[in-house]
Amino acid sequence: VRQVRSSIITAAIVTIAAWAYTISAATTMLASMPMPGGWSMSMAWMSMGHQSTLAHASMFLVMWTVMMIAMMLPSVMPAVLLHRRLVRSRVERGDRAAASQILLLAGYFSIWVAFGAVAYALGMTVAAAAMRSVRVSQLVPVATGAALAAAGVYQLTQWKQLCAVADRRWTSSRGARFAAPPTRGDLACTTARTAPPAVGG
Amino acid sequence: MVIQLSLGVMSVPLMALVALVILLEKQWRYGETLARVVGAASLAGGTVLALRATIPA
Repeated sequence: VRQVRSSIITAAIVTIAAWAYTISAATTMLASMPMPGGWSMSMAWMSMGHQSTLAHASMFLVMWTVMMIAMMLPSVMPAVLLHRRLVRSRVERGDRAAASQILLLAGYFSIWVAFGAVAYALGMTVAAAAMRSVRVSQLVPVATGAALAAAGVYQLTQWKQLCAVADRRWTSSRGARFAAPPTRGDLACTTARTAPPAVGG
Repeated sequence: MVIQLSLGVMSVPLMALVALVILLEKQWRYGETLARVVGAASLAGGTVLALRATIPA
C-alpha cells in the first residue's frame, strides 16, 4: 500500500511540474504574426536565425512531451498500478516478470513523442507553405475551421460518449476492468478509436 | 488532438488550453458534460471560422 501511495504521489508531483512547465512555455510563446486570410501564425513555428532545424524540433518535442505527460499521466496511472499488481502476483507465483513502471510509461509516452514528431512536421509544412503562398495562407483558417467543426461533431457522437463512460469506469475501477470481460461501451470505444482522434485523443 | 494541432499552428497557449480541456474531460466528474459543451463550441466556432474566411467581407 505504501508503494502504491508513493507511486500516486510521485505521479501527482510529476503532473503538477509538467503543468507548470507547459504553462510557462506556452506563455513565452505568445508572439504571433498576422497572415493573409485574417489569421495569426504562432512564432513558435519559425526557427530563429541562429537555431538549427534539429534544435528547433527538439525544443518543440520537449514542450510537446511535457504537455502530453501533464495531460495523460493522471489517466494512465490506473493501468500502471494494475501492471504493478499483475507483476507482483506473477512474482509471488514464482514466474519471472519485468516490473519496471518507468519502462511501461516510457513506452506509452514514446508513442506520444512519435505523434509529436508527426505534428511538428505537419505544423512546419503548413507554416512554410503559408509563408510562401498567399493562397495557402488564406486556406489555413478554412481548414482549421473545418477540422474544428469535424472534431466538434465527433465530440457530440454516441461513440465519443461511450468512450468517455468507458474511460471513467476504467479510471474509477483502478484498472480492475482489465480482468473483466469487455462491455458494449469498451468495444464501441475501441471501434471509435480506430477512427482519427478528435479532442479526447 | 486534431483540435490541438489545428489551433497550435495559430497559438501555442491555445494548444496548451486544449490539453487542459482533455485532462478535465477524462478526470473531472462532469467530464461528459464538458465534452458535449466543447463539442458544440468547436462545431460552432469551426463553422464561423471557416465561413468568415470563405465569405469576403
